[in-house]
Order: sequence, then structure tokens, then C-alpha cells
Amino acid sequence: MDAGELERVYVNNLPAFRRVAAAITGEREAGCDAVQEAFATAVRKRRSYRGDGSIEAWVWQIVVNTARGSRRRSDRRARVNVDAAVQAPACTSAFAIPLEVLTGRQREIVFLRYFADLSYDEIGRILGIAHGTVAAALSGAHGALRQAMQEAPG
Amino acid sequence: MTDKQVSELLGQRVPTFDGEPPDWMDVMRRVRVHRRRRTTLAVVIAAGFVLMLPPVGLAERLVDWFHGSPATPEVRKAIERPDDVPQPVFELLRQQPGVDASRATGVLQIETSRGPVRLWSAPSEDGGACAFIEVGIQDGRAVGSEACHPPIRSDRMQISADLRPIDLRLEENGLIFAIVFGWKAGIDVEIAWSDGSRSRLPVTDGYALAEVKAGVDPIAASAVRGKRILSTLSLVPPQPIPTPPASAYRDVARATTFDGRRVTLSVASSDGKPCEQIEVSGTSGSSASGGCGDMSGPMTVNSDLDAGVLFGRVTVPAKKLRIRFQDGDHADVSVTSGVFLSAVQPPHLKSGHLPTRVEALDSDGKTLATAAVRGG
Repeated sequence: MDAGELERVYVNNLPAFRRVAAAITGEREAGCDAVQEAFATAVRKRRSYRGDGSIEAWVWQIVVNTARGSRRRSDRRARVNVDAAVQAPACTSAFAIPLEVLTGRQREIVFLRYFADLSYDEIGRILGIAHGTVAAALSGAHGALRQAMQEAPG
Repeated sequence: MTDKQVSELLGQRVPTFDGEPPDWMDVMRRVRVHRRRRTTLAVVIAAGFVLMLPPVGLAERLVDWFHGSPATPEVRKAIERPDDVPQPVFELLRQQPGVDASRATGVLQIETSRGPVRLWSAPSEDGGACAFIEVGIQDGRAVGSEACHPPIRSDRMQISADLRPIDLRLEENGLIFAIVFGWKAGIDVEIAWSDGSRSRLPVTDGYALAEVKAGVDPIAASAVRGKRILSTLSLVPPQPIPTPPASAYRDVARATTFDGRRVTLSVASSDGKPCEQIEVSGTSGSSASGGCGDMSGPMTVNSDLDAGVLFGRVTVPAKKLRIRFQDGDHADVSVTSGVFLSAVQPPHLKSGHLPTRVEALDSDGKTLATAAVRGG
């Protein structure tokens, strides 16, 4: 694999990478930076890509891991608001989404599912978990969000 | 509220990045200046500095507490089998060189800006040892980097040092790892930094470990006794050699891996340095890897762990190469344009049958050079 293939992945999927990284880091700028850094890591480590899965899935793993690292550093500086990076478009519902009720893994699965539109299998490969685990975690996330939103005042 | 409504609500909340164009040049700039780029990292580890062990009394207590303690199951598991190495290629990796994880013990530990880092050591079959630098635990397995080396007990004083990741998830080279061969009590390691400062590190059993200073690059590591420098090694990375374009490579050897994939070895040169590239093609696509650099000896032997392939370069006038295996077998490999390629086949991918070394032979069968097979 050469850097040109990674550039193609970068250009074709950049909005999704940025959405998920921003959601994981809790900060838009940190998310963008994490994506840039993740691709720099991917270029440096492209020798370790073994070709036994898609390049996209391999890069997604690096993006998620880099964003996690960024979030951990932010957590040490200050408690971040996970929801802050998730901008509400003008037409959005009045509901606030209490993402803080989700576990870290649930949040990542939610982001990969809804912000990157990835399949359960793709998410499983990226996070190193089984298809069924993805489904169960997503179901659990839905339940937790539903309950939290129903209990929310107003 | 139904699951579908939750899904729709989440879908509506997708953050947008309109007006923020791609910046691939920035990615490549980060690749080039990775080691120097510590703007973000400097903020994160603003308080980062080389953490030397506390003054003598407490230091000795800390060392005594950890030193010699048996390795945790997580560490033993990591030493026994590194992550992400497929079978049967892992068997080839174990060739570096038969480490006894059950005898791994603690050597030293330091506190870093990212938490404690511990160094463990396990004896290896060749009388040396494999050091494991534990930077964390994930899924019941210690994560870190490993370095197998010859015996530290040596008549020749020599320091070996390199930079290691402090966080494998980020792969930041935030640790200096040094081994002092021929180490005796009273010998320390001194690090020279790009800002002109120097740090002295205590050495335990020949090993020293320190966190890289924030915003400052390590220039050199020296083994010192008092003010006398006994051995020095530069830590400044060599200037990267430009990678030649794909069209510059010339195919010189082909082989088929144990699982039927095709392997092609091609060569080129860049700035007068030899470059090698291995391309592995299978049903799921192909991947290429390689690099350019100076020869460090008469023969280099590399291995592609995924493909179970040995390849390398020979500078002595060898007629052929002979791969020696643990079980006494051998296989001869031809040399073309100073390089060679061999796909290791069953049963030589299993413990007890693994390749151990490669010999370069002249036309009379005389050994001109020998190189050990290492995973990596």
C-alpha cells in the first residue's frame, strides 16, 4: 500500500472521519486534529497493513484510537462535554441527546453507526468485537438514551 | 420513544464540517516532522520531564520493592505472544530467540506523565534476555514493546539505546530505553538534550529507562562513570532517505508463501542507498512494504511476519545462502543482484523446526558471513 491509497481513503471519507473523531474527543478542533494525526500514523505504519481487511477499516481503527488518546488527554485537563461537538442543525428537534448516559464503548458504536453510517460488521472489525456485541451495545444505547430522554424534564 | 425515533434523532445530530477542506499536505507534513512535532504533545505533557528515581535512600527502596518480583500473568502473556501476530508466523517470531516468559522478573519502574512504566526482563535461550517495557494493560494483556538482546555481561563496554513508544495507541516515541553491555555498579546513563541540558539516569541490571522531555529532543545517550564517558550512541534519527517511485523498482525474486500468496522482491536505489520492497499478493489484495538504508554488515536478514518470508541483502561475494533450521534441516537460496528471498514453508514455521540463521557460502562452501533470523 502506498500513501496515494491512503490519500484516496482520506479524501473520500474525510467528513465521516471528522464527525466520529469530533464526537469521540468531544471537541471539533481536537477531532480534526486527531484525524490528521491518525492519517500521519497510517502513512508511517502502512507497512503493518496486512491486506486481510479493507484499508478503510484499518484506518478507522487508527482514527478511533487516536481520537480516544486525544480524549484521554483532554480528560486529564478538564472534563469534556461529549455532546458539545455534536452540533445541532437548524432543523433539529428540541431534544438534547444525553450521550453521557452511555458507556464509552456504546458512544463509539453510536458514533460509528450514525455519524459514519458503518455496518455492524464494519464497526465490529474496527473495534475488535463481534457483530452480536455491536448489536447488543447499540440496543443497550438506544434503551439508555430512550430512558434518559423520557426522564428528562420538559 | 421508539428505537427508530432515537435513531432518527441521532441521525439529525450529525455534526457537519462544511467549509473545512481536506488538507493532505498537513498529513504528510506531520509524517515528516513527526518526531519533532510536539506542539500538541507539549501541552499534554507540559509537566513532562525525565523522571529520575528519587534520592538514593528512597530510590533503593523502590528498586528493591519491584526488582526481582515475578512478572504478572499479563506481562508473561505479552512476552509469550505479542499482539497481532498470526499463526503460524508467530512461531517464526518466537525465534527471537526462545524467551522463557515464566522466568520474567521486574527490573525497574518509572513514573511518567502517562502513568507508570515498568521494565521486565526474561532470559532467552541464547544466554541473553528479552526486555519488555510495559506501558499499560489491555484486554488482559500487557501492552508495550520488546527488545531481545545478547548477554549484558560482557567484557566490552557498549551502550545501546533507542526511543520507544510511551503509548502504543498513539505510538509516540516518548521513552528512552538504554542497555549498557558490560555494565558494572557505578556506571550510569547520561542523556544529552537538544537544549544543552543533560540528565543522568540510574542503571539497574544494565537497563535504564526515562521519559523524553517535553519539547526537547534527546541527542545522545552515554554510559558514564563519574565524569568519564565510556560509550556514546547518537539518538538523532538519520535523515530520511526519499522513497523511489514505484517505476524505479526492478523485480529480482519471486516466491510463494505457505498459504499460496505470491511474494515479489524488488530493488531500487535512492541517494546511493539500496532500497528493497516486498509485495505480497493474495485473493484479498496486495500490500507492499520496504525501505532504503545503509548496510550495517556483510548480510542483513529481514522477515515479513505476515507472509513468513525471509529476505535481505548480501555484500560479500556469496555463491549461495544456506538457511539453517532448528531441526537440523537446511535449505539453499540463490542470491540475485545481492539480494535474496525465501518463503519459509511448513514444517519450518513451527517451534522446533524454525529457521535459526542464514549463512553466506562461497563456491567452495566456505562460510563468508552469518546472520541470525529474527522476527520483525
